[in-house]
Order: sequence, then C-alpha cells, then structure tokens
Amino acid sequence: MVTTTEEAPALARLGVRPRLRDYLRSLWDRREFALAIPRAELQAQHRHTALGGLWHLLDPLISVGIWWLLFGVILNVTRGLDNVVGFLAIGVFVFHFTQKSVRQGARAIVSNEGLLRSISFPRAILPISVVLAEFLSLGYALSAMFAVVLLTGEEPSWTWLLLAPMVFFQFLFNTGLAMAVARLGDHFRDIAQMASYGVRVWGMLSGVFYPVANRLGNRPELLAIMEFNPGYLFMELPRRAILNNAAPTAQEWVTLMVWSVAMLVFGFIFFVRRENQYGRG
Amino acid sequence: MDVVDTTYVAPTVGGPKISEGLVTVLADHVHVRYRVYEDVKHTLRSLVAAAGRKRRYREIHAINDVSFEAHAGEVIGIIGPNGSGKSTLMQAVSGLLPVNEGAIYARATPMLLGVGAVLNKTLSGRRNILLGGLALGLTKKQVLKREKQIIEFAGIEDAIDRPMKTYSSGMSARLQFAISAAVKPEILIIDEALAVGDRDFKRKSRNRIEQLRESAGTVFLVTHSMQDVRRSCTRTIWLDNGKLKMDGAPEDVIAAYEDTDEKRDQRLQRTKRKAERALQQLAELDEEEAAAVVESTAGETDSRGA
Repeated sequence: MVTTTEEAPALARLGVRPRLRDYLRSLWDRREFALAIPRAELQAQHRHTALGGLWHLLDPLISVGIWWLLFGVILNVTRGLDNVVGFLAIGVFVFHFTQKSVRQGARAIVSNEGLLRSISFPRAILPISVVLAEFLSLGYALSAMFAVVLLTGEEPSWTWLLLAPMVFFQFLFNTGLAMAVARLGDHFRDIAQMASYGVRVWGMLSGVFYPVANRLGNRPELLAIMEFNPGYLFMELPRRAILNNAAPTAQEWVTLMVWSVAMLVFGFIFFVRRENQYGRG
Repeated sequence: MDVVDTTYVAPTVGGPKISEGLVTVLADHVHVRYRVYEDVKHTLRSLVAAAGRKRRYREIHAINDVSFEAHAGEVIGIIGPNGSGKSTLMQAVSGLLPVNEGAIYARATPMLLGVGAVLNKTLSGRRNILLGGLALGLTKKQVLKREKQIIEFAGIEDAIDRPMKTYSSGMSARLQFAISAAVKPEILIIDEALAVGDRDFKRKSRNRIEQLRESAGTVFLVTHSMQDVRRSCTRTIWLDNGKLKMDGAPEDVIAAYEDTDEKRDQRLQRTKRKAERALQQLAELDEEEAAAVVESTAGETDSRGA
C-alpha cells in the first residue's frame, strides 16, 4: 500500500527530541536568523526619535553621568578610587549585560508564543538571540565607556585587549543562564520577576557601585569567596585591566572559564530537554 | 534520547484513498488534550496553594483519535465548524504541538503558512522580507535573490521601504503570504490564509497552490469557504468535535457537511414552531378549560389536546 522509492526520505516521526548533534547542526544552520532577530530589534528601538540610532551611545553616556552623581558625589561610596567615572562605567555596563540577559531570557519563550506556534526552528535560538541583542548593546556601551575612560585621563595599554576574551566568556555564561531561565520562565511565569530582583541583588553584592575590597578589607574569608563569584570577576577583571593596566591571574582565568563553560553546557541541556513543549502555553 | 523512526510500517487507516501517490504525512490515532485549570496556571502562588491537594482541571479533548494518510500531489481541504480542532490538528501535523497519544510521521517538516509572528511592524517591508525569510529557514543569500520576486508577488513595489505598520491589513497579509510562498516546502499547511486580499491576489495564491500540487507536494487547506475547497482541493477531511467525521472526495464530503447543517436548521425550526403553537394554545385557555384538556389528553393518548 505504501509505495516507497529509494531516493525519497523515509517517514520520520515528528515531535521527538532530536539527537544533540542534529540539534547543534540545525542551530548552526539558523545562525543568520539568530542574528537577524536582535538586529531588527535594535533597528526598531529608536526609530521614532529625532536622534535615532545616536541614542544607543547617548543612553549609556547619560547613565554614567547619573551614577557618578549618585554614587560618586552624593553617597560617596567610591572613596579612594582614582577614576570613579571609569570604575562605575565598566561595572555597570558589564553587569547590565548579565542582568538584561536574565531578565529578557526569562521572557524569551513566554513572549513568543505566536512565533513558537507558527514556525519550526530550534527553540534555543530565542534565548540566544536575546543574549545577542544585549551583546550588541554592550558594544555601544563599551564604546561609550572607552570614550569616558580616555577623557578621564587613562593611558591605553595592551591589557585593554583582554576585555575581548573576558566579555566572550561572560557571553557564554549569559547564554547558558538565559537558556536556563527561559525554561523556568515558561514553567512558572513569576520567575521573570523573581530572577530580575535576584540578579540585581547579586550585582549589588558583587560590587557594581563600590569597590568590594574596601568593604571586605577586614573579612579576608569573604574576599576569598568573592574570588569565585563570577559576577564579581566579570566586573573586577575588566576594571583592573583598563584602570590599572593589570592582567588577571591564571587562577582568575581558570575560574572564569570553568564558570562560563559549565553554565553554557548546563543551561543548554536543561533548555533542550523540554524543546518540544515550548509554545504549548 | 529518541531516535528518528525510519522503520515504521503504516497501519491500515480508515477512509478512502483518493490518490495512490507516496505517503507524505501519516497521522496514526492522534490525540491532543488540553488541560484547562480552574485557577490561574503557571504561577508559583497557585502551585504552593495547591500543594498537597488534588489539582482541579478540566480536560479538553481537542483531537480525538484522528488517523489519515496524505499523499504527494494532494490538496486536502480541512473543514468543520468553529472549535472542531482544525487548527489544532494542523499545528500537530506541523510538529509545533506535541501530541498526547498516537504519532504523526512526515517525509519532510511540514510548513505552516504564516510568518506574521516574527515580523517587526516598525521596520520596512524590505527588512521584514529578510527577517521572515530567515525565520522560514532560507539563507540570507537566498532571501536577497528572491526579494524582487516576493515584492512583485505581494504587489507592494511602492510601499516596500515604508514601515510595515503603515500598511493596510490587506497589504501586510499579502506580504506575509508572499514571503511564505518564496519557500517551496514539500508539505504546506494553509490556515485560513486565502480569505485575505483582493480577487487578483486570490487568483495568484490559488495558482501557487496548484504549482505546489503539480510539483508533487502536499497541501493542507483549512477553510470555511466551500468554494475554495471545490476549486483547489483534491480531497477533503471533515472534523467535528475533534473527531474525523469524514474523509473523501470534496463533493461527497461537502454534500454531507452541508446536509447536516441544513438538517440541523430544519430540526431547530420544527421544534421552535411546535413550542410556539403549544404556548399559543395555553395562552388561549383559562384554568378550567386547561384542566379539561389535560383530562382529555390523559384519556385519549393518541390526541394531543388540539
């Protein structure tokens, strides 16, 4: 009854979880799509304003000014720092990358139900493109940061180039984290809110607005724990590389790498395990 | 981890075979159920509150034991009243909605026509062609190569660089159809898409379906328009309340479908007339007479008190 010819592909069952290798290949095949989503979003963002795309640069610059006023002048928690503005700019921009990745990642599945119900593609593209969007806006923010740092009298050094691998590892970490919260956010809608507060507290504890070493100077055991906190390393290492021209130690590189790869692998596997259930509502 | 099943042997499936071509889609006793919770689903609060006691939900059997084989070169109309499960079945067939029981097999990933969800209304039509094309699995190069053709097919040459939110609903629907049509899937699912656009565009769309059919693709067409079914379909499946009610040649299925509609109407009319007559009679009688009528009807079982 069923006539099968040699060259025709066989009937395959739909909705089964794909093999990991096939899944990774299909992700790679769709890489242009994964990039097109954040690009479109960025293009659309400031469309209606007079200054348009310039806002991508103006927004972080103005923010730095506000934080400097608040934390550097009014609250004065950055005592003893040479370059308060540079310190704040690096910390806030870099941590914002993680914070926004989590916040948007938690909504990546939930807010795309229509898309999930009409087009088939590897679902991991959604959290990945969320992180890519934040990565692109980090690019603008870091350009603003370099302008601020140069204007405040820092001398360029080769250690500035280390920012690239640091941000790359943070990108891997954020992608894993975004995939994990995307699945959680699909299951419990409240995770989107909770994760957002959680990440802010984590940022505060890791020293977004103040030098951690100053606060923990008399608590060496806490400072030692801090050395293994990825949030702390994400901010501390670029600050040292740019403001003090100091490269991270081998231990710090290894910690950064282990965290990033572990989070990426965990988040990916955790996310893909429910691949066929997303969009069900 | 499940492996792709390649050794599946097709079971005998009910319903006549219209075409003896290659089987492209096989639905094997498919069930889809939705659970509708009585309180808000998916919040931590409700989960904590419900911890330890049985959760109350209603189960909706959206697709109930549906089986069919679709063949290469068929255009299959899916008809049925609202809420009969047409769209749910098509989402399951396209692999977007997991089934609870049974299985769906396909020779290629079926594509649901509809790219609207990915488009960004703030951006121009041109940028959206790229976005939509990439979403459907084309490469950037392929999209750019087909861009001119898509714009022509949609018939929006003048508006292509304007933001999509300035488009009329017809224009944006045409663009969406044109983007989807740029991809030539082996199995295409069209859910109510032919309702959009003017006569000229409808003609183009129909030609497109015909092309797909001739190139040995399989098209599913969900529609309420029996005219569309008669014009385009080679076979028709009638769903009713999640069940496959009939599967066969369009003329036969449409005749049966419209017949029940008519019969249902007639029955309704008859009952209504009867009720009206009874009410009228009661209103005309006073109490004593009514009592007498009741007595007499009790006596004469064959008379209804007229």
